[in-house]
Amino acid sequence: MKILVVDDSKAMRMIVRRALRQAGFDGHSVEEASDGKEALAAIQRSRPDVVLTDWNMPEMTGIEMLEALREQNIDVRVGFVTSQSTPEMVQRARDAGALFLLAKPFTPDRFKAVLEPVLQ
Amino acid sequence: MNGDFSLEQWLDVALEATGEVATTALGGEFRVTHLEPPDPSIRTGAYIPLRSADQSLLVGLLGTESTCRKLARTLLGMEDEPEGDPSDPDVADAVGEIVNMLAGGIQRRMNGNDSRVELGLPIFVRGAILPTRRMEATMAGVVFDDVEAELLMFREPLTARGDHR
Repeated sequence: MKILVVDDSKAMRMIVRRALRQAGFDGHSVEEASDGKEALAAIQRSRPDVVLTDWNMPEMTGIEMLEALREQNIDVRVGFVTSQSTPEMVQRARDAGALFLLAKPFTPDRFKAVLEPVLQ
Repeated sequence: MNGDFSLEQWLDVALEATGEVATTALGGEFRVTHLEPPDPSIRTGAYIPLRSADQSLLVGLLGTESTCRKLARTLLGMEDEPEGDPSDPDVADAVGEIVNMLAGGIQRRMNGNDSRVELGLPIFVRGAILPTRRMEATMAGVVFDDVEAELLMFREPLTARGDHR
């Protein structure tokens, strides 16, 4: 499976990669993008199976990217991994068809529980 | 609304959120060593602004250059790589991410308290932030495993118009 990790923080992209390995999802191909705009181009180019994205990023936020994907009828599965989490964000993510909104920091168990149904 | 929330109460929430980051993202133990008014010493670390309906806050996680490097190495999983050392931008990014998660924890706790807290973006600073007359400040000594740091918090009430002046 092809996974795209989107975060403007290099540290966070490394942490998500590590969390994927620690959760036993290490057989997948992982690519990275550092904002929503870059991610949109990567998705159009290589069509990943799953996108794990931060919400708040420069150039284009994660939710703007997801809404742009839906406008273009690109049906890639998207989940948010983000520090911020308000009921409005959860609702907007749900309306745009996001699979989940996982709040940072997360435990390895929580990360695995959220990702397992998506990656198995 | 959280105008009746004292700075000490905000600090308690911030310490709880910091403990959560310490035990999950940093995977270690966490304790608070002391509470005291901040001193204007030069420090290195990351700050993040928070804003509620009637208050503006700034939270900083600070220490020495070595403190920040150790926290970055832990967050990036480099404890077992004695040869590798994170670059300065990677240290700034990693400590910024720690305060970002910490602020997210404050937001989740406060938004469950019939209030709305918005977050800004973290910045990495080498130096001291001096509070204005309108700002209150407080500080707690914190320890992540064996890494000593300080959690600094500034608070300033907003006017009825929602701005600082």
